[in-house]
Amino acid sequence: MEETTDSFNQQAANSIINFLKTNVPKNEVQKIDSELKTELVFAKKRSKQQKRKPIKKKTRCLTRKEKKTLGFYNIPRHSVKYEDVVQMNKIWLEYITEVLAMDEGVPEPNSKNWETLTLSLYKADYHGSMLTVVRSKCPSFINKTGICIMDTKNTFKIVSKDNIVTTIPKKECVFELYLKKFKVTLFGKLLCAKPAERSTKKVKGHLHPDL
Amino acid sequence: MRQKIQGNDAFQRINYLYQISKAMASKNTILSSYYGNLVVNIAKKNVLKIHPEVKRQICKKCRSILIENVSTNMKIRNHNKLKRIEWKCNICGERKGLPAEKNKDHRVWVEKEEAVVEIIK
Ligand SMILES: [Zn+2]
Repeated sequence: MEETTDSFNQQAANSIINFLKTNVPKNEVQKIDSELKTELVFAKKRSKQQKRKPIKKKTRCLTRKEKKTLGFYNIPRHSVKYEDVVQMNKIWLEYITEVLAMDEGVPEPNSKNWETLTLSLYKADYHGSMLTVVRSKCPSFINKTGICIMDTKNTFKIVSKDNIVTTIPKKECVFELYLKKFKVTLFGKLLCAKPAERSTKKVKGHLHPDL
Repeated sequence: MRQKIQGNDAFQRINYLYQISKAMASKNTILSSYYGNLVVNIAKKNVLKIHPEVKRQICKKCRSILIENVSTNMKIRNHNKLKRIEWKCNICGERKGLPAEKNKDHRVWVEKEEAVVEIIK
């Protein structure tokens, strides 16, 4: 094999030299041979040094490709059972009563404490909450009820009682949820943020009503 | 009225997500690791430290909760004549080790008694 590649390289080199001889201006033709014989010392040294240092990569987190092969991005329609998620809903109710301090009673609307309540509601977590779509621009989403399992920037993923996972866009929907005696209406338009970022984001003061 | 603690809502959130991540570990590994990932991300975003006891239970690579015989298998190994506990994640295969010598105190400072100054309820 080596001999054939050598002869092939020789051929290629010869053809290049011929090409140069025909195309270079006449007074420079004689220089070609001497020019080709000069060795570039640093060219060889550099390549050797590069081979000595293989770059070691430390991968700590999963890459996107690895996550995809493990199936982190798609949740099949029937993969999550409602019974498993009910437990999450129970823990969520405990969590939300603690966050909103419901034991101490709910403050009057338009008072100072009311603002802090809405703020903490905005910063709370919605995984495991029982959501009902009340209003939506798309009529087929209305009256869908289920427990939220995933909260992305623009969508909620909910599991309904018949074990079906549905994805609901936040922007066009208005949600409702029940906390003991109280009914809370959430405008999905205002919840459009990544769940991890929402806790540090500043809230815009006024709500512009939909037309 | 309760005393206000800085970053309290984020701590509560981390606590809640840790709980549901643990609850889902045996049922749905994908969701469990998704919640574990959120725990780490929220702590990053709010510049908070996760308590070492919680942090030890999260897989370094796929961030799912490690529970013995459910999502991980424990081994005790000798490493340079020192004993180490090693957990191997069943989802991604990452190993996680901690020193476990009998006569030594391996607690971090946060876990020791003198670290607790005041308990706020
Ligand atoms: Zn793992």
